[in-house]
Amino acid sequence: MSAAMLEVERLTAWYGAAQILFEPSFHIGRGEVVALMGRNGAGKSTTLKALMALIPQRSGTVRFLGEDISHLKPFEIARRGLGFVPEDRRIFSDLTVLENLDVGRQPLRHHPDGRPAPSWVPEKLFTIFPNLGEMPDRRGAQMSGGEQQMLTVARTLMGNPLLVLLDEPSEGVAPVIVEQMANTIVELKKEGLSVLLSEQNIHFAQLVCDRAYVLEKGQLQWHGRMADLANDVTVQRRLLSV
Amino acid sequence: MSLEAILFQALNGLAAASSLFFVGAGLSLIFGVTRIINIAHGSFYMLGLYLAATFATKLVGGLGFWGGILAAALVVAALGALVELLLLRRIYQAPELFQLLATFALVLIFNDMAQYVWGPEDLLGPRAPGLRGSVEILGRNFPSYDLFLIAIGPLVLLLLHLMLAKTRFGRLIRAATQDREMVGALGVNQAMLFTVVFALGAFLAGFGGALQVAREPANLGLDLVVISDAFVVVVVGGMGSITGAFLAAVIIAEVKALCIGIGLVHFGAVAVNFSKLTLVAEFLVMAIVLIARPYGLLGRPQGAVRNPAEIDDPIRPATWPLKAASAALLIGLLLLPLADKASPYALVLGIDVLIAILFATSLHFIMGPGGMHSFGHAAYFGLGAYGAALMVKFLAVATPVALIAAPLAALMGALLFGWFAVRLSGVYLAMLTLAFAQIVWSILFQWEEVTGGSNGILGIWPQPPFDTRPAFYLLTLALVVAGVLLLRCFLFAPFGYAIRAGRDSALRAESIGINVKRVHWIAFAIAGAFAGIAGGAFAFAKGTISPDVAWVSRSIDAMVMVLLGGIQTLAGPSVGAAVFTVLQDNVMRQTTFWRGLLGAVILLLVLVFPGGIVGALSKRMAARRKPA
Amino acid sequence: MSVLRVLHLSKAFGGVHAVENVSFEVGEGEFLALIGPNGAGKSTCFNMINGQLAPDAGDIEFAGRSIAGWKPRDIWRLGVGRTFQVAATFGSMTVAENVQMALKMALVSHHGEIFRFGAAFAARHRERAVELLAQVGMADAAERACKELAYGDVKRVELAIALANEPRLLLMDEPTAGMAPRERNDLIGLVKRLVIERRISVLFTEHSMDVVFAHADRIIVLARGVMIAEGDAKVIRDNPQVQQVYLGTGRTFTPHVEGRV
Repeated sequence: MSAAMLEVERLTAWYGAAQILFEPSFHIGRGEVVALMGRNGAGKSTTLKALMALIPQRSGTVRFLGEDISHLKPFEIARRGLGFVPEDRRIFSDLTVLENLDVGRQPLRHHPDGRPAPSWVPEKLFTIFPNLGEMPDRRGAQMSGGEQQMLTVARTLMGNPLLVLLDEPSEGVAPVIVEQMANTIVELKKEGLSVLLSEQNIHFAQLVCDRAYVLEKGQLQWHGRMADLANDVTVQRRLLSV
Repeated sequence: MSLEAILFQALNGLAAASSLFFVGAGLSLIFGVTRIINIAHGSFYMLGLYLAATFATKLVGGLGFWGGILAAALVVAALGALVELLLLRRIYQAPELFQLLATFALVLIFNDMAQYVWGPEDLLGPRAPGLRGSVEILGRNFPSYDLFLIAIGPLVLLLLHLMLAKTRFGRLIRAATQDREMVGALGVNQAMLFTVVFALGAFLAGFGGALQVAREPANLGLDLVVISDAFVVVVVGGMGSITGAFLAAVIIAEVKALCIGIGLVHFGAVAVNFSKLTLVAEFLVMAIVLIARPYGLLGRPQGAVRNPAEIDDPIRPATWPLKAASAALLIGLLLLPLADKASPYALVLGIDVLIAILFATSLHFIMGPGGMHSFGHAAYFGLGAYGAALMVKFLAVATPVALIAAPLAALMGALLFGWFAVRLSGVYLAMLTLAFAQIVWSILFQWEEVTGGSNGILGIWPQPPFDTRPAFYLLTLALVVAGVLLLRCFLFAPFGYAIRAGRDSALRAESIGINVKRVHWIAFAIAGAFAGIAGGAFAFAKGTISPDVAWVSRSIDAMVMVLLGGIQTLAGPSVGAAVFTVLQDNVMRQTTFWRGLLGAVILLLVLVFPGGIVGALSKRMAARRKPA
Repeated sequence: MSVLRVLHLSKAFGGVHAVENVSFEVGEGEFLALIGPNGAGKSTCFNMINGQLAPDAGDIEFAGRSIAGWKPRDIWRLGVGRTFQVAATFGSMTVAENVQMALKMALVSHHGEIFRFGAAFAARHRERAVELLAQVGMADAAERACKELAYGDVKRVELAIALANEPRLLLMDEPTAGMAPRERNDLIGLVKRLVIERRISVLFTEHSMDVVFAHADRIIVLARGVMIAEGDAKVIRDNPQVQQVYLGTGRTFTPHVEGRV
């Protein structure tokens, strides 16, 4: 494992008077795919949103490529190379596929050591998501849920991110789409991308992740190798209600 | 009226449509991206016109006129950017109502600013060099400048359309219109996008105003006239649709032009002056469109705004300390007439406060539990006041009879307007209710034979035994206490629960058998009727009423009272009304620029307590629990 | 004997066929799953059955009456309960009040009853409401504000609401979405118990295949608005077309194992 890209220390987040996150600390190395697991309401989505500064009330340190980004605005964080794929897809339904991709477009980025980050153009994305290539001018509103799920990932990749935060891509979509998503993540990993995946479905996480962190009630309760979690039925029962 | 005359009048309408379109398009663009209904958009138009008149006069020559128009629009755009940077940026997270209030505060401030700079007199600009003459069309002289206006409307529509469809900036605007947070998370500097869009919208409004420099004089009443026209345009065209705004602007301008063209018509013995019916005609167009297409001609249903709306706590009956405190307060109020000798003004202010309490509580009834943010509640206050006053003037009825007529008149109006209003929600509802109130106002203002026009109705005094100040005070107290308690009682009854059920989840309410629209319609009517009682009492308290009773600022006053006290509490409106009335009485009347001062106070309220006083308190408590 | 008959139902949005010529029946006491890819027309079907959308063509018969094009509130009165994908409850009321509201509406013969301005609401149908809440395991939370509940609990409250009018048919749109596996099994177990006790028929959509294969009596598969398969768990699991458009290889969900907790 190479040096950590993202280091998070004692993250907290609040919705109004309710504290959701209680100081979990974690890190993600270059080229790693890491799962953030936990039951519904454990704070997985909140963690990703807090990293993107999409939650106003938060504290803790977030270092990305060595830089403290905890005081930056969402767009500044995105421009540092942190991509965010929201759980409810949130594609722009009035815009076509190509227009959606264009909104996500950002300049090419480099790793701190000068190596270029994986870069994306629509043509290259269409090889990973052939469905999208067949409907470049279709408006988002007329796409199926699975196609939208693909588009939301592709749109984030247009920003040429170094690390992608992927929020529950398996939730509420057909099993066949979940499978495609797993293939996509493996594909992205090969390109050298790091991924933080928030997930409840352990079968899915098992297919793609190297390591896992498990949250319960906003606190970090377990971390280790994905394979160990997959074999540890006790932990699964206790923390994931399997 | 000949066919030629009608066609000619239609051309006139097209000339007026362009400016209307610019204002509507700007309003629509700004709303799309920032989700703020900019009530100050009419003020931008007005300022554009004033500035153009000044620039075109001060700068000489052809370049001066056209340059002046452009300069005026640019200055307004800069002002818009400033407003966005200094004010709106701080309140994007605040509840929608506070945003509306803030932009209304700007209306007040800009209006007093204009009065300070240009004075209260109308300001006439120069004619356009090169387009002073006229062309003969259909045997009549048609001003060349108006032809120019007819041409520029579609041209700007085309430019806007190309910008939105073909440029990255346009794509970002359209994307932000759907989900601004997501656009930011994709690396777009959303703050800058907002500022630019706001400036562009302001530019369009300023440009629309400036172009009218050769057609109409600038005056201080334009801001609210234009904003209600623009609201109608946007509602008819469909929020967020630029082409829709153009279509609607043409339709509205044509209807108005034809009404003016038709003029006085005799239907048998009845003479109807159509030129006075322009606002009513607009309303009819809007009503027809909204029945057929609730989201306007080219609009689409607005997705829910991603603002985690704060949900009220369950309502609970008053605890006994609260009941005891209320009883003590009531006894205190009953004893107030004893102070009449020592300080006669106490009762006058007392009556004002009581009326405000009932008015605010009735608004809260639909705004809080109903979630219907009416920006035109003064319409029903005004209908009540005129209902009572007209009974006295024409039928010389006894005071109690007039006070029964007041809520009935308001009830009729609320039933009619409410039927349309409950079909909409959110900002559509806010704009529609405001437009309705403007119509009521214009009827009161223009129907001189009955309402006395701008002079209003004089000499409405209570008859014995209510003709002394203490007696009338006690009557008002009885009405207000009964009204407030009754409204409260409704909220604890099945009906009140049904109102809240419809607000919390219309989906669930409908699927357990509640006819949400009907329940909200009845609630709207009830709130109107109680506002009518307040209006009736107001007429007798003042002795004189004018169309001002239904003017926008009274609607806004009520809203400020509710928000000041706390929209999520049942006692809030009463407290807010009392505080606001006393404050207004003491401070506002000390200066000629009281409007601007009121605006500043509202802004302060919005900026210091962006979530309302209650919200600010709970936030502070949350912060205290949070580790440093 | 069937409770619900859907006959040649079609609906298009702006030229796109969301549902095309779909026919099926729900038998009495049957636990019927409607599955398919996102956008296959499942929710559109639901919305037509419960009255939120009017069908373009075809008919819906409930208990022998044609209800196509009826309003949701009228269909509810006939005895069709519904839960939504995102639970729809009254956040500003207590849990008990939520159910009382539904009971109130269930026990009145016509809408006029809601227009009562005097009598306090708080005490009405309170006992029945708590009884219903006890059945979904939420009696202890009766006095809490609905907005404070965890999402899984809100779903239980919604179920109690949907049961308030003694429905003969319950429509459940992704009832276990966002739940952990054990919560899923608990909730579905609860529904099945109620189904048997009250002899209700259930039509539900679901993306969680372990739930579907373990519990559904029969499964219908929609794809692009068209019904492509129908049958029990084994038939559906082995259908190559269903595998291709929906199930995939099955790597991402657990096939049900008998005796699992």
